[in-house]
Amino acid sequence: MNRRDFIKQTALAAATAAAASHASRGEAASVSDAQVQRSGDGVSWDKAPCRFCGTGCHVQVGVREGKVVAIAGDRLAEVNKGLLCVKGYHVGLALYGADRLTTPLLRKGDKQVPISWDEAIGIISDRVQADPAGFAIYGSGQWTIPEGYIAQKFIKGGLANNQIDPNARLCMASAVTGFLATYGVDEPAGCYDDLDACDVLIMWGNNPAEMHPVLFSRVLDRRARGDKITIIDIGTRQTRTTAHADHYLEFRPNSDLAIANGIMALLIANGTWDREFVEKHTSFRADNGELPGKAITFEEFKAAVAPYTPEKVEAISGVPAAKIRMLGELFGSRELKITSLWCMGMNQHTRGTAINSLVHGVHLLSGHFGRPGDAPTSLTGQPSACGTVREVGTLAHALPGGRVVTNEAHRAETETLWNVPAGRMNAKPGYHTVEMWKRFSTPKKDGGDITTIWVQVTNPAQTMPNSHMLVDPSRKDPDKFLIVSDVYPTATTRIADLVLPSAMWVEKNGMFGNSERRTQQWFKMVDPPGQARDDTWQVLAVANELYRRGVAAFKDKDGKALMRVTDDKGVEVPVWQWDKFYTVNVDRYFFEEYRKFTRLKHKDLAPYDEYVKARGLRWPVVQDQSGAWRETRFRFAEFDDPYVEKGKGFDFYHSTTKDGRAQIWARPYEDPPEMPDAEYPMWLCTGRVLEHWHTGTMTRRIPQLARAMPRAYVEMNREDARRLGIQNGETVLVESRRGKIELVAWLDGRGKPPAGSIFVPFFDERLLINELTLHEYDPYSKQPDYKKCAARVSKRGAAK
Amino acid sequence: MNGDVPGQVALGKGAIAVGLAVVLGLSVVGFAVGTGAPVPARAPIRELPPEDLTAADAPPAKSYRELRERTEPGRQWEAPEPAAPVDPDPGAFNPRDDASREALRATRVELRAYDGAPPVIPHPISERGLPECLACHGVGLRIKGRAAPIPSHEKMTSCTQCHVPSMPTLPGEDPEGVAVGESTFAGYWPPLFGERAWEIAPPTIPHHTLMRDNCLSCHGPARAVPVPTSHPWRRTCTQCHAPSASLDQTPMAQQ
Repeated sequence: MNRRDFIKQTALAAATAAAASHASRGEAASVSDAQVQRSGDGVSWDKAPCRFCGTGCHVQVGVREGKVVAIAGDRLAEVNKGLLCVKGYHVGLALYGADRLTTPLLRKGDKQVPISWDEAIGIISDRVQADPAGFAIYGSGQWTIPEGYIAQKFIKGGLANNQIDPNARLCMASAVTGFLATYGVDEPAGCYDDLDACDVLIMWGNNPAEMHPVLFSRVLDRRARGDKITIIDIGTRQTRTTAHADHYLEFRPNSDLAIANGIMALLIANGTWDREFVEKHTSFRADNGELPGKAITFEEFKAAVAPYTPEKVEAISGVPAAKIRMLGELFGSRELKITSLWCMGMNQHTRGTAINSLVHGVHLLSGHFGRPGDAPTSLTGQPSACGTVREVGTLAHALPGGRVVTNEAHRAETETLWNVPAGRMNAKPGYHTVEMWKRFSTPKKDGGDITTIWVQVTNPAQTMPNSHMLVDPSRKDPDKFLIVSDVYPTATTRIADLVLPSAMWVEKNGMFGNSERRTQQWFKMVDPPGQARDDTWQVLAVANELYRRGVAAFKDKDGKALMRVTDDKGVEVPVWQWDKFYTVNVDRYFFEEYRKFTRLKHKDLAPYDEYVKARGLRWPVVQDQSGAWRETRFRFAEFDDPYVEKGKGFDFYHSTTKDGRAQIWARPYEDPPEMPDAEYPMWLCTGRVLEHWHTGTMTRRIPQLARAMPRAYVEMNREDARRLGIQNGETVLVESRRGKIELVAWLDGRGKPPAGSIFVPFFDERLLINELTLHEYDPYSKQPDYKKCAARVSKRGAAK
Repeated sequence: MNGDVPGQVALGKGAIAVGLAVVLGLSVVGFAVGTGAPVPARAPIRELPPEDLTAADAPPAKSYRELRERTEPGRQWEAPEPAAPVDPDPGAFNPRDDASREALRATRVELRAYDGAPPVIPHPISERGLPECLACHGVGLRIKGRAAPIPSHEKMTSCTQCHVPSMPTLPGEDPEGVAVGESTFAGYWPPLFGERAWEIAPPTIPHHTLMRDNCLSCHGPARAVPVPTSHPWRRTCTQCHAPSASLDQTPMAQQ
């Protein structure tokens, strides 16, 4: 066979495969076929959002003979404009670790033995029937939107015990409460376009050079083209981001609250606050133990922030008073455009809600809001923390589209849309993540009323703080049963009672929602290995089995299956049979159902087929007079948000005070719950590195990434190392009150912590730093603090 | 410097030998010229007013250990011997045969997961601080048969966003425990040759051109082992060679 014949044959094979998958693509098939481009040598390319962080870059995925063979940046994507980061360029390799899970496994004694899918579905159904109130789902910001929606419906519409919470609780719950407390509705007003317009970029405890590289280089590339941008890094350690910054403001952990207060105090003292914006569009708020807080007057607000003089802020934070004055002057200059970015530094914080609302407050008080380039923007770490967790509401207290279980009207609307009997849904929120796992690790007789947890798309044995307390005890309790759906063996699958092999990324249809309100869609491009199956299918199969067994919770009002799927003609499709699952587009079916929930909070989503054509669309997506769907870049601002009445300028139309105003908060600085002392004299901070994503289960199986960053380490300051007699590369003992771990010391490495503090990345499952971290959490968001606790470092074998 | 830090290693034998030689040499000179000559008084060191400078302001001197630990770019510059350079002048209209193209490709495969993947960096880099990559790569610096390739794409300052070292700069050994699984990924490589409409027609470009604005980065003389062209003196490549890969996503390809 010569080359030309080979090309012809592979092209033919690709075309046949495409035809076979038409149904699974739904009506959008014809549109999509135009997008799948074929090059001369049998490689077909199609779009997908990257599988890793919350930036939401689009990649072009090259597929040949049923395998992903190449990745390229998508030039048509506004997020990344053709560029990616090193993880994104290697995202296709994440599918091909040699140890993919390919069959369901059941624990028998010390071993996990292969079982059939029918047995696995039966076992899960038995667990549900044995204790419906104690059955919980622990999900993820990596769930696709339909996956999260289906799990949500299973728990809140079916079991009605509200026991569903995601790993995003550990990731951006405080960003949510910050938005709610300030604007009355979640998610950023601005978007990435602000990065193209800002004059000043301020990072609050954020290292985008490693964590959101494509967003950071978007600004650096502007600089290279001659734009003048002042980059300010407010951080607790020097990072790759610091290297590009004009100013590095090193603060003591937790004292970011003092810095934000200090800026507001200067704006008022200097008279440079934006009087017109503040008087027309904001009011003032203070803590009273409840999330909405209590109203205060401007005079009261002024008195609350006045003590935070630059000198006092310096005393608390260690940042020189002159630098605080500089921030005050920048925010006091209305002609400048200032964008703030933050991620885990402000969210994984026992005062997370407070610091989030303070930074919003700095922007509102100074009027640096609502013009392109003027925005307080919170970034997410997972690809669909926004799309799935925050919008679908896969949290213990939430319902789809910004509703909450405690609101009777919200429950009634949801019951109608799900066609379940009135009054089925439960008004009592389920347990938040830490509480869920605490109860799972507590014997049933002592109040541990969670008996089964089904984990999907996440790895809690590695990411839960203080895991000795929250995870380990459950593994010795015969009443407790842990089910894990994943793609590779992980720290969590190894301790599970039942392991389910999952399809990942382009092995299934999917939708994500990124940090800038952008909803994205992709199609299945390759088959999953062995018996691995979609998480969506797994939940639908259990729901169907429970329906078949006659469990009332899985019937709707008319006695039909709660989770049934129909084709475009309304005929039910038996999608619980795996060979029928892709005869209809299940994602499209459930997305169209979910879409009806999105109007209440003005987060309108377009029909599924619109997302097939686009590289994502930012909500609210509304239809204009011509019938075209138009996305929104800047919310609450008249010039772009279709929901702001002309002439109003700004309208915070979900204001907690129901008057169109946003809230500027007074929140004092307080000491964190654990601080270094004589016994544990150092601050411990944890986080990510460029090469690895989350717990490294995917990136550690990508040779290029694993070689560049092979294992976890402890980053130390030379001064501390000298004092302790520790050399670069020496293995040392790191201890906290909760655990200990041996790590290689790295001096002047990737980052440079100040004396008295250390940093350890959490990606390495062999070196579990979360055995040391603190499980204390923010009172409003219930998000734990992974960024600061007290620890000590000593030479290995040295007696203490 | 703190003398009590354990592990403060003595200078190498070579350095001691050099030091002894210097001392010996000086004493010989001293003997010859006489040591009794009066030493001229040195000008006193100008003292700065204390409000301008305090002891705490002085940067701490680096220890020799710290200096040795630095793994800046180029430290291993001469370590691995490069493959023998291909004859830079293959002669007019004499395209290489399959075998030599395959050999060329092997040098590319080593550093890339697939065609179009950002190559890994075959030398240590500084982990922090501004990437200084363009000091060498910006000008295509050549030293002893090795060349720092000029980027194929527009020059960016965030090099380490996409390019990571092939060997870690992180010190220490891997711990016991679960090793990472092998990858079964098989990357895509484009055909070795473009298509020709007739025998001596200019071939189309067989690979995609995303992030490859500068053909000469690979095809030009800045590479120790350039992908051959029969006419390296011509610089307007796309005048005759048409892109063929539909991935390119150019407005034309979108039609």
